[in-house]
Amino acid sequence: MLELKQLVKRYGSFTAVDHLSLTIPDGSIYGFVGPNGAGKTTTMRMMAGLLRATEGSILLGDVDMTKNPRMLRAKIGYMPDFFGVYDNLKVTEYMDFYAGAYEIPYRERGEIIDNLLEIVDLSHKKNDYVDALSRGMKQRLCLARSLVHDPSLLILDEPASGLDPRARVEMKEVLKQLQTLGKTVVISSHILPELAEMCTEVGIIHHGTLAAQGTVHDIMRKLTQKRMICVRPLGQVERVVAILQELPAVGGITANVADITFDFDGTDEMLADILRRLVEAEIPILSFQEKQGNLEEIFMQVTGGEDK
Amino acid sequence: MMNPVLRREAITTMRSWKTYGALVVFLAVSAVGACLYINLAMYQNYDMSFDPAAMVWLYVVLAAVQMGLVMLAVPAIAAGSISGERERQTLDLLLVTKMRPISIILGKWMASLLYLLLLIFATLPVFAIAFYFGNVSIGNLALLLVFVLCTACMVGAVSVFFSCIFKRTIVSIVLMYLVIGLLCFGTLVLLAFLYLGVDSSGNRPFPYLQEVLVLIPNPGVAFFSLMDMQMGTNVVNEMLRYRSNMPEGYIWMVSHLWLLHLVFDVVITIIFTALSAYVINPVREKKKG
Repeated sequence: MLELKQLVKRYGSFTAVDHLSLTIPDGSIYGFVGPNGAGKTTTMRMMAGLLRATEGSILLGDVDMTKNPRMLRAKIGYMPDFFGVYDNLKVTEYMDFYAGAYEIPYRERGEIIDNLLEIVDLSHKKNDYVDALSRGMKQRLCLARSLVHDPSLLILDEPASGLDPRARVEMKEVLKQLQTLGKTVVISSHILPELAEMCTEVGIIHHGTLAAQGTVHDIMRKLTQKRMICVRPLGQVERVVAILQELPAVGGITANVADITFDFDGTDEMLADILRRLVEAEIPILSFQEKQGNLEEIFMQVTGGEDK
Repeated sequence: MMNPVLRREAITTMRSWKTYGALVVFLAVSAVGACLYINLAMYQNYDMSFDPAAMVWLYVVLAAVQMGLVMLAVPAIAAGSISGERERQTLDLLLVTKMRPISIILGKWMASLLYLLLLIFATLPVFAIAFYFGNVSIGNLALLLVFVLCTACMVGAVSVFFSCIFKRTIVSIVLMYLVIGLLCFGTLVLLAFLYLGVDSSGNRPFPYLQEVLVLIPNPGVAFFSLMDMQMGTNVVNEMLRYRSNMPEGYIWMVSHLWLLHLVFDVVITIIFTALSAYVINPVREKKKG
């Protein structure tokens, strides 16, 4: 389990991260969301041992990373939002270099590198030069690099930035595979729908503090007082609107061509009663469902629509 | 286990055509230069015979070329070592590994000397001419190599340090050349000021110790001091030993400036390597508390 306790990072009078506390359970994929300058990268760099926290602690299991950064580097894989590559180095040599830097015995490296290249689907490129790979391939190679020492925690800062849709899908597939391998993944991304789909939990960071945390659904429930319901009748939209207008706990009715959405502020029993009334009025109902909030909406609500 | 940074640098350096291009050019210039020198030296004698004394001077010239190579090539290579990693955005990736900052710095520092070592050892056959025809002893040659390598270590360590501090490689290179200029010429200017002070006051005791202390960091003076010792010339001695009543310790120091400079090189190398490791350590503030 990764635990951030009252984490603070100050640069002079500017506070980049302000008493941030959060807990990430083992095996989860935790999405980190926030506007530019919110403190995401600073927090991730502190987690990776690249920045020292001004105050607070980062615990991985029982060990405080702020006191034992080198010991914990063996347990952490870090992938920044850029991929640094060397000229004149082949894919296997690149991997071998980092395996050496993580003190992996020479005789074990071959098998590890082959397995990782297979996971990121780069086995066919193992003898190619790194600088000749496409952007998506380089990004996957960097992911393989961050896994070379078999870390239990992966910190991925914007792993999908700058990738085309196909490369993003490939990256997502790799991350899903990592989840099945039991890795804990902390990931930040600007592509919010993808995060929502992938992450078991998200944390929204704003002005260096954690504005909201939980599953997308939980956060939506906490943030919105009312539930949004969508009804799709087979015609007779006006009749549905007329019935809804008479009911308590219903407001903000919006009639579209084929469906109606409304805000509902009541219990589940009251909601079931609305559906019963529509059916009793002999209106054919194709669907009646609570609209799920998406991460984009939550983000805009929490951050007041600031730049992602 | 070989330092991974050194290993990678060796692979990438030896894979570049520029490495071999520069090596070929340097060897060609050295060999052609040596041949021309021998040819000219032979023409000096009516019977076209070898003059061993001329071969000794070939040794001095070749040694000076190697020193020049150290002063010019090492900053160009080493001053980009860490800033180059920053420019390639690979420094963070290195710092999150299990490698200690000192290992990264040592790897970079050794890598910057690797190419120089290749150039120096590749020119040994040219040196062999002076060794064979000029009666230069193998001990002298070995001592010269130690001297050149120690100077290279010092220049490399300071260059790597600048590379840790400045983000842009070009700034580090320019600054390192400035430092070399200060060491080689700035110390001489300082020495001139010391003499000026003595001449104007007249009755002040001569600053023997200051004189030597100012000259110890000067690689050029140290080099000529070594050549004086090996070749029996008197370049440094004549520059400084013109006064009567000199203290004995001073005479020893002047004739062993090259040795004092070697000690200076070693000390500076250790200090700047440690400083570099401190500077790149991302969590170094921890040690303060």
